[in-house]
Order: sequence, then structure tokens, then C-alpha cells
Amino acid sequence: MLIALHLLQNHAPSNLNRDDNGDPKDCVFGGVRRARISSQSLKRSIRWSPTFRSYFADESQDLAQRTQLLPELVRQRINTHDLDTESSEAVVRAAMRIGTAEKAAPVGEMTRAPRKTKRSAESENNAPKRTAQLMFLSSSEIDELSAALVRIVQEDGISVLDGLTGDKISEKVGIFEPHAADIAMFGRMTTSSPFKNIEAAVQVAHAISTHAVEQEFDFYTAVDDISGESGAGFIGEVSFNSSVYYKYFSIDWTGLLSNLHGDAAIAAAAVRGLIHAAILAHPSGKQNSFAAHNPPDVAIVEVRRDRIALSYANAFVQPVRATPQQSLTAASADALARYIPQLNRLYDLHADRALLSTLPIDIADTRACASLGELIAWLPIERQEGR
Amino acid sequence: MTAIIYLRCEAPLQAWGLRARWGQRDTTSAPTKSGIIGMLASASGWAREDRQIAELGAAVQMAVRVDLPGTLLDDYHTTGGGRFGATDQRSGVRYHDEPYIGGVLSAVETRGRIKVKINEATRLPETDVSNRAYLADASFLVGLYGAEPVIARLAHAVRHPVWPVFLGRKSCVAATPLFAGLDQGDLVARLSAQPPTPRVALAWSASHGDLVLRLIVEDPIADTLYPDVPLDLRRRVFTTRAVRELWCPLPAPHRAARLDTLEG
Repeated sequence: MLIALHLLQNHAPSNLNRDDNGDPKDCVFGGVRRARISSQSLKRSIRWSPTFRSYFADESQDLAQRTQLLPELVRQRINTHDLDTESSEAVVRAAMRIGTAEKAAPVGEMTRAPRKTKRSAESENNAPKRTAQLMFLSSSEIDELSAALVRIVQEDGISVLDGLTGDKISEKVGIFEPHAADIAMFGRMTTSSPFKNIEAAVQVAHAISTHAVEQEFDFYTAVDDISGESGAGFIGEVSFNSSVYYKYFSIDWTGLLSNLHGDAAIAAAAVRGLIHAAILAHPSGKQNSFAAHNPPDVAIVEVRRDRIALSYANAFVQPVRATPQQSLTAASADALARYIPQLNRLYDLHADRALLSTLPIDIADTRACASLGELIAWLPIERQEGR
Repeated sequence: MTAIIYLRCEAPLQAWGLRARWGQRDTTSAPTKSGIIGMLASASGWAREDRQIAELGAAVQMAVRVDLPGTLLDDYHTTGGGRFGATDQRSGVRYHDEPYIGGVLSAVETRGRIKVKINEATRLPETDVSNRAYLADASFLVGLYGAEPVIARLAHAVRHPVWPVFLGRKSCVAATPLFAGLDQGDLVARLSAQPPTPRVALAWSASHGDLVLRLIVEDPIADTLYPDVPLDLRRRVFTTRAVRELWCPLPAPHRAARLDTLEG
């Protein structure tokens, strides 16, 4: 089963997601320049939204964080055990090797050329220990790893621990399974063991505007209140635009269930959390200056048995135009409402659909919902047995 | 008996990496064999290390018709750094366990708490930067030619995929279904004659461009080598194939319509 969410969301003037020039991101579509919000920006705003996190407020469902500082986090956890300094250092060194095939350097051997000054030698020893990559880790995974390393050093001794390569350590402590719902949804990529790669069950497309976009510039000045000079003390430019975005999200229910080892209750909470957060969250770029907090006008949830991920972006190949009778948003909604049955009929595709809209649009075979709660309750996820 | 399966790759954004390294992710100008085989493997439910992937690559011959070449988009992609949400922007030190969310944890530990690593020059949290290239507004028709049972199985996999398929990167969601029909005969001749999608037909009728389309065809005796035949997708091992570039006329009704507008 594939659950897709399509949104039409009109943002007031804003610069939610910018490129390396500070301009709102864009792309060409239908031969015409469109505004764009990157997929990664949307994903991050969802993952960190209070709405999403509230679905997992229960302590046992801790969310993952990115960190290279695994050894330091392990060091904090082993403080509670009664280890002498040497053993603690051996455990932290072992955590550093996670993700590599190295062994610890034998005690006393110089692994680097001697430093020039005493002070820099000291600061190098005090420098935080890191692993080779940025990893997604949940608290419970770090707890397990720390406990396992402490067990090894207590039972087998420091020299045995030092002699283990990173790969051997992961073998001994076992492969970690993710317990975090957001790893199961958004995935994790690590190029080495012991943390298993997880394929994301969620796909987020880059959001593109349904119409041609004009980049606009706000020429601003800052006046010095104290110097008494007239004229500007500082001048600059901020670029922005206002756009109706089409957004697409999809969740592979089967993949999500498999990432969560069959736990349908957590999977259902994750799906509801994602839909709720995708509708209410948005990136925060320049929002202190623009405050373009605009929820979507149209939200369509679509459930397909065949996991064919299909975006309705082509409804807007011909850029939508506003008229005196119809706003950009309404015209976009009309284009979408006409396109959905057309595309599905053309390719003989079937789906169950529910709609939440501030605009009076009508799509065949679609359940119109009166509230977000009703839309989320409509999701047929409790009844699914892992298909 | 042999057969052909057509796959339509059309989306606002798609990406087909050929020579990418580390933080700079490229795209080439048309779907790669590794990308297409990878997609078919995903649809078939094969894990990246599955041996059937290399076998499939050897079992089918690939040709691509470039219906719309698209434009190159370079996306500035950051990881970590910045801030999110209405947290206080305090000057000075930030710690990882405060309501501050985001940023790369890699700085010095002070009194049992880890500082968020701050860039000395900008005083903002450190950020990883990568550049990812995409093809925007492109549409391709890929033809795969092979033994009938192989092609039939691919057709079934594409219509009932085990994992949802995407065009190169996960954020590249297709705008039309991938499966675009089955056929028999000579790969290049049949591929050239296939009709376009409505979106492509719209572009062809609106433009004043060429009357020919670019084809990229596998040919063992050709000169250009693409390093995109997958052997092991888990360890990213590839071998090369030889390709030839050809040109074919627009399919008949569209060519006639274009000639009309040029003359009229």
C-alpha cells in the first residue's frame, strides 16, 4: 500500500529555502521558471516540527539525531559504571573505531609526528573523539553499545578490547536494529557497520510552484539611530517571492512496517504524524522577516494498493494564471481537480482518495472531509495487515 | 523470442549520476543503465547486493530516446547547521541538550555538556555542503530489449513494484507511470516510432526546435564508453558499456504537424 499526500499551499511573500546566493530556490518546469522548495528542506521541517515530535512523545520512542560524536556520548554513559580511567579510555577508543576496520594503537606507540608545542599536544589529547561519519543514532542504540563495550572491557580486559577492529566490535555487540520511528520513515545511510542501513519509507518531492515565478527584491536600508546621520548606514537586498506550491509526499506502508519490524501501531502513529506535520509544518528560512505562515488550501490523501508513486505535477505544465475572477490558488486547484481523474483514467490506475480544502473543488470518487482530524481518521491504516 | 519494454522517465526533476564523487553529485544528460537497472531491481524487490542485478544488466540491451532534454539544475544542499524553529538566538555558546535543535555536534565538551560546533568566522553552527545536479523538465523514453520471459517479468515488476520507484534520487517522483508498453522487433526502429506523452506532445507543438530526436543506443563496436553497467550496487562496482549517438525523426504525426507550422 502506498499513501500519498498532495498539497496546494500558497505562501505569502517569503524566502523559505534559499540557494548559495541567498535567492529562493527555483527550477524550470513546462519551459518556465518556477519557485522551488527543496525536498531536504521540507523533510527537515517535518522531522523537527513539534507536531511530528508530539506523536512520539513517549520516551521509549526516542527520535534520532545526527552525530559524529558517538564516542563522547558513549563516554557520558559509562560514567555510571565503576570503570577505572584506562578502561574508560579503552571503551571510548573502541567507540571511535566503530565504522572503521582499525585496531587501537598499542599503548606507547607514536602514531603521529611529535607536536611542536606542549600546549597543542595537550589540546589534541583533549580534543573530542569522533567516528568517521555523521550517523543517525537513537539514545537506546547508544545505550546498548555503551553497555556492550563496558561488558567486553570488564570481562575480557583492555588489551582484548584494543585488539578488536571496528568490524569485530560490531560483530561482538551485535547488529543494532532501529527503534526510532523517524529513522524508519526517513532512512539512514552509513557506509559501515554496525548500524544497518535503513531504506527510507517516505519520499518527499521538491515542491514547485504551479505558476511562473517572478523573483522580487526588497531593497532595504538600515538607519543608524545614534549617529544622527541622515541617510542609510547600511543598505542591502533580500530576494523573495510569493508562490502557490504543489507538494508531494508518499509513504510506503509495507516498507515502513518492515523497518519497524511489523509494529503496526507505531507505523500507524508515524503515518498520522507525518501527514499532520506535512500539512502544518514548513521551512523556517527568513521567517523572522516574512512570517509567511500559510497552511495549505488543498490537501488530498490518496491510497493505492500498487506502490506506484505518481506526482500530479504535470497538472501545472502549462503555468497557471490568475484572472480577475479566480485567484492563483483557485486556478491551481481547478487544474489539479481536472487532471487527477484524467491521468488515472488514462493509465488505468485506481486509488482511494480523501480531500480537505478551503476551496470548493470537486474530484470524482473523493471523500470530502470537514476537518484535518477527519482526514487523518479516514486513513485506512489500522485495517491493513502489512500489505 | 525477444521483446522490448518501454519505460517513460518524466518528472519535474530527475537525476542520473555517472561520475559523482563525494559531495558533488552530477547528472548526465540521459538515464544511465545503472539507474534504470537499479529502478527495476527496486521494483522487483531485489536488495542492492542481489546477484540478479548484474545478470539483468547483461541480459538486456538499452536504448534511450531523448524526448525533452531538460535543463541542468544545480541544487545547493546543506546538512546540519542553521537553526530551526523559534528558539532563542543566544550569542556565545550553545549546548546540544538545550532546546536548540539542529547543528553538528562536534565541539569541545565543557562540564559534561557537548557544545555545538560553531564556525569561527560566521559564528553559526557548522554545515556540510553538497551540490547535487538534476535534470529539470526532461522526458525520456527508455527501451530495453531482451528475451521475452525477462521482459515479461520486468513488465510485471514495474506495474506492481515491491518498493516505490523514483527517477535517480528519492526526491525525483515520476509524473507519469514508468511502464510505457511492450513491443517486438528492432529496438532502435521501434523506439523511434513510439508516441510521446501529452506533456511531451505539448512541448513539441509549442517549440520551434528540431525535427529530430537524440538516441543513445548500446552498441558493442561503438567508441563512447559509459561506466554505468551495475555489477554490485551495494559496493558501487560498475563496468563499462559502449554507446552510440543516433538521431531519429519526430514520430510521424508530430513531424507532419511541425512541418506544417514551419511552412505556414
